[in-house]
Amino acid sequence: MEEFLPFLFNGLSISSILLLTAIGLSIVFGMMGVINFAHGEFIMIGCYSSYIASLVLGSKGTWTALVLAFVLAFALAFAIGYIVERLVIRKLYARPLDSILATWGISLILQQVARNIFGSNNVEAPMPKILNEGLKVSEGITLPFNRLFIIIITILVILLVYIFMYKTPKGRILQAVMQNRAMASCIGINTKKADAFTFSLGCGLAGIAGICISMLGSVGPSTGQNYIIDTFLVVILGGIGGLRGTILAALLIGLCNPFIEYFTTSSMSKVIILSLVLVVLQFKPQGLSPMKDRTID
Amino acid sequence: MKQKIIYAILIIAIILPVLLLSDFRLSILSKFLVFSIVAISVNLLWGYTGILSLGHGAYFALGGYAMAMYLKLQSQPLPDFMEWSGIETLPWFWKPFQYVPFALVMVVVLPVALALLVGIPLFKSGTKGVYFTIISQAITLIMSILFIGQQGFTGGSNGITGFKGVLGYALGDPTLTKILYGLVVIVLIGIYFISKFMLNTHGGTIIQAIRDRETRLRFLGYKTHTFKVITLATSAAICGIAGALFVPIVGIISPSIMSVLMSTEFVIWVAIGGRATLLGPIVGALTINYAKTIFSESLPEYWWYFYGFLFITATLIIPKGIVGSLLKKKWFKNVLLK
Amino acid sequence: MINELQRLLRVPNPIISLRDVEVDFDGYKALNNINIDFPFKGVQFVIGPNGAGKTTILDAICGRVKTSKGKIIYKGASEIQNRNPEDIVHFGVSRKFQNPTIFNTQTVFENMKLALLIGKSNLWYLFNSKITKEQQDTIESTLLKLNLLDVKNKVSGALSHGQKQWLEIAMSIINKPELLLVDEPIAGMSPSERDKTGELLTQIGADHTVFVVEHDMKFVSRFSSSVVVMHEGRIIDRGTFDKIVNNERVIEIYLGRQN
Repeated sequence: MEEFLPFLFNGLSISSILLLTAIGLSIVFGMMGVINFAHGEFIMIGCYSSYIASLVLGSKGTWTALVLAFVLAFALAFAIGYIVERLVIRKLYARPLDSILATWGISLILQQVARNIFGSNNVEAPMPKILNEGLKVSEGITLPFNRLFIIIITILVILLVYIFMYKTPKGRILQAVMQNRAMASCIGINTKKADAFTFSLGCGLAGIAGICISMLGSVGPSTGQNYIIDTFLVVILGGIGGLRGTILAALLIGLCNPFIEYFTTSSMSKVIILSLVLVVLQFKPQGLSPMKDRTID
Repeated sequence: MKQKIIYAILIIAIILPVLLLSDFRLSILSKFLVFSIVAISVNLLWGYTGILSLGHGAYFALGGYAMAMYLKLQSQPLPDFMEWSGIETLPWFWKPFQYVPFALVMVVVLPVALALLVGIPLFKSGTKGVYFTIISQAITLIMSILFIGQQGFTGGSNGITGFKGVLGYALGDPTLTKILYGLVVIVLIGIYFISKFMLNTHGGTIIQAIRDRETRLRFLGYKTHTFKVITLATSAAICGIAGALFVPIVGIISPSIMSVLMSTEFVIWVAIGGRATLLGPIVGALTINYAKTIFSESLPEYWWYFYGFLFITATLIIPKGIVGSLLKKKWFKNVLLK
Repeated sequence: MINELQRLLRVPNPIISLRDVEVDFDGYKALNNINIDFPFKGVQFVIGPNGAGKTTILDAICGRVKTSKGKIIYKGASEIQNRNPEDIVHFGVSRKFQNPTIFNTQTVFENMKLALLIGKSNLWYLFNSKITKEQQDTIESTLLKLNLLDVKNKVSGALSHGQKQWLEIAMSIINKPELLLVDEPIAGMSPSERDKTGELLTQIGADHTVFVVEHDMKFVSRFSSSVVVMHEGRIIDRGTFDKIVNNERVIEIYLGRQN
């Protein structure tokens, strides 16, 4: 058991980051059929939010700054997401491939904006000191607090999203639109408003993921790009159809990672995992937890 | 009569750059024409069959590496990067690349093999739309990690470079630049007319019907996945040829060609030029690359903004692209088609 | 009563037989233990309230949904359940969908060409752009049957709803399938178009098996040789229209609700 703990912990840590980065994308994809290639840049917005918070509140790395960073990240990403939805995404429904291209353009623009504001070099966002320490389990095994903290944040975010999507009236409206857009529209739901909200929410969640990523190291204009393909794979492996698939996919990929890495190198393990995902998709082309329906075309 | 005038203009347009441009510029133009070939291959798959690949960098790279391995072995019996990695004898899979015919065959075989490896299982299991797009991107990522990781066999992230020469000329030799330009033009024209012919056949009609309504086609009895695999393989072959032409012109091939950025660039050339038009990809590749050159020489800062807006423009403002929009105009049709 | 129904569902020497067929949508049984034979030739109608499983039977036969249990046997020899749609077509099964499913950007003639060419065994046609005089004639005579010859060069997306339905029927019959599956062919058609469609189905039924899902009782009464009634994934009765409208159970579950 003792030997497995580091593997398990690493796996959970990777899973939590995958899940955090994928959850927003998954909601947007599930509801609107839009793949947001700028999702990585909304993560980047989150990363820079903690940097901004430290600029405002001093570079000591306090809990206040961290809380402010979370609020700022969500609000900023949500707001920019809303603008993007209004100006671009809105016109691209039912054109998923075009939405890929348009959001890719947005991604390039946002990266350049970040370069112009913060410079091309990476910046470090100071964190509360305690996060850099760790929980000593035994001789040689220390669980870093920042990773523990990210796991906790992930669980919290998933719980909140779950409660929101399945237990609140507004969430139920989103569910209705996700399951049957035409019908939802017929019973008087403003689907355009629901779309705008969903997209912004997805971006806001990416912002929160960004804060967590900024706890792990320095961040730069292209930080988001490092996560984007993994995130996509989590989403398509999970399948369209709610949180369950995405959680399952993130856990699967994350937990496999340290074990495979143990036997090979880190770049080879990436290759193996990507290949495994492709093999699984071969047998389950709709993902692990698909939504069943009979629509044609 | 009009036909003849168009051909005359075309021939002048091909010859003029050789007389007017400096060797440096001519070589850049050759590179752009290579990119036009790439754009044709992407358009075949995306514009006509409705399958968006964001992984064409991999096919391009495979064609390129096949050529680069040949050129490298012409320059050194044991490539320098192998020595650096402590490899003392030439690996078995490098050996046949010292022969031109083998290398040239591999330029097509390697990309086609990857296309089959990717296409057969994916299309058979019914992977389509954004799923295929994302998976194609992931596969290119896998390839690029593999190429970077196997430093001793592939030259790692630096790729393969340092060629002595091509066809007996040193790289950068003015004569070579002109020869390569001519070669690229011939290949481009050849591929243009082959794809034009193919799209007019029944096979061409069928792949376009896949784009419009695949389900109906299946229920008529067509094995649509076979057609998709064939189209992907054809597209990969064309892309591989482009990769092979790219290497002697630029003098290097590296895994950076397999980046997400590069593969999306391929797509935007097609989108701006006009998807599902024959001329669109060529127009798009030339226009955007020319614009990029101008920007990077005068306003490098703003290139990314401009480039980002291009993607949005291509989808929202001119979804038919330059050629597609022009085709709706009467005068353009008259000039071109009558 | 039960045995009586079982007897009715069997026919000697059937073109297609469903044996204990079950289709499961996440626990909901859209088809529950379906056993039925279809004879060569004739127009077989299937009626039933919404959710009865009418379309699902067509879907199961032509491979659009997977069956979770049972066998579908073609001509007493081949099992075709859970095969790919494109393979099932080559047994001689053709499908017309409820909404017109055609290639909207192509002309009527090109649509027909796509439907016709798949019958070819020689793959070289893929590299050809012409069709033979004979093929041209086949297309034109089929179009003539469906009153579409005048619009053969029109882009099919621009046709009226009824014409689109006919075009899809024309595409479904051009390769002379032995079993034609038709889902609500007259939805959205004018009375004269309905008559025309009914006559056409009868005409096709003279040589082939036609299996039609239909809601419109008037239409069923006029053109059916035999009617199957479905309810909640099961078959309730089979017989002539006059016979089934007098079955009390049928009146109760289906016709009763309409009155």
